[in-house]
Amino acid sequence: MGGSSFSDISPLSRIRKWFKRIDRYSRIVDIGEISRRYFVINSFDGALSMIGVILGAKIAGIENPLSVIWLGLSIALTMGISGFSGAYIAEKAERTRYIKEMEAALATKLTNSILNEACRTASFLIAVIDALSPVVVSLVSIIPFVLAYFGMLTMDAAVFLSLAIICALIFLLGAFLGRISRESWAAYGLKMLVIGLITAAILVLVEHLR
Amino acid sequence: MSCMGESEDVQISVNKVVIDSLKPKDLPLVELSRSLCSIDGVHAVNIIVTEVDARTETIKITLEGSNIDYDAIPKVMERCGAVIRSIDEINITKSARKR
Repeated sequence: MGGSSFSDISPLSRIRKWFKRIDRYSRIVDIGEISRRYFVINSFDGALSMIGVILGAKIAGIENPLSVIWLGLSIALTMGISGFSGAYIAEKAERTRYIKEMEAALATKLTNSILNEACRTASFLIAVIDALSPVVVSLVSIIPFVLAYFGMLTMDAAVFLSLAIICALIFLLGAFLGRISRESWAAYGLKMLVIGLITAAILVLVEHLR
Repeated sequence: MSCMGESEDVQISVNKVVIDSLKPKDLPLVELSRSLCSIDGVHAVNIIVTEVDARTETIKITLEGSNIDYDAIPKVMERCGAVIRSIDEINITKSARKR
């Protein structure tokens, strides 16, 4: 009779519908470009913060892997919450302004329009990406300390491995930017890596000057 | 014969509607066309951009089909964020209702 049964709204088909809707929205408002920008900026933020946490812990003489894990988790949580709320509020403000300008240009209300829905979804999605990117980077970079906690690595090896993972992530972020700009991915990767290494060097230098 | 001039034995069918409309520039024509094409009775949608402004575009929409659900047009347009400025042309035919 045209009504949908429970089998029609299986989780998989719901997800498929959701992705279809996002694809439709992304053709109306810009989601991809801003998401990419937020992803790179916040992943880079997360990576540099984790360099700070790991080197800071090493310099402070913390030998307990659990302490570093907790530090990493708190950084991930803080950056996640700050990323989501900051990006959501900022995006929402920009999109609301856009809708209001559009309403003035069209001399009509756009409350129930697909344009308004697309703007709301875009703000939410961008905020989620902004929140998740530093969280993922932070969580990945503390994996060696989890291994150290279970006695599979020494603390020094965990520090070394964690820094290596962060450097690799930073390089990959740079390479991603290189691909977007259609220039040399290696050059972009190296540029980003140099910034990460300079940050680490400054941290070590500050410690020596202390 | 009813007060609307429609006999019970005849069917009044809207076959063509030409609309002068204003739409947000960011709304793709394909998106609007697809939505309009989903209206009952619409077989073809033709859109021509007649004017481009900084934020909006003036378009001429031609809907063709048989027995087009005329009342659904403003709803779909509103949903898409487009505004109807005027109905510039309409084609209606009368035929004997099938029993």
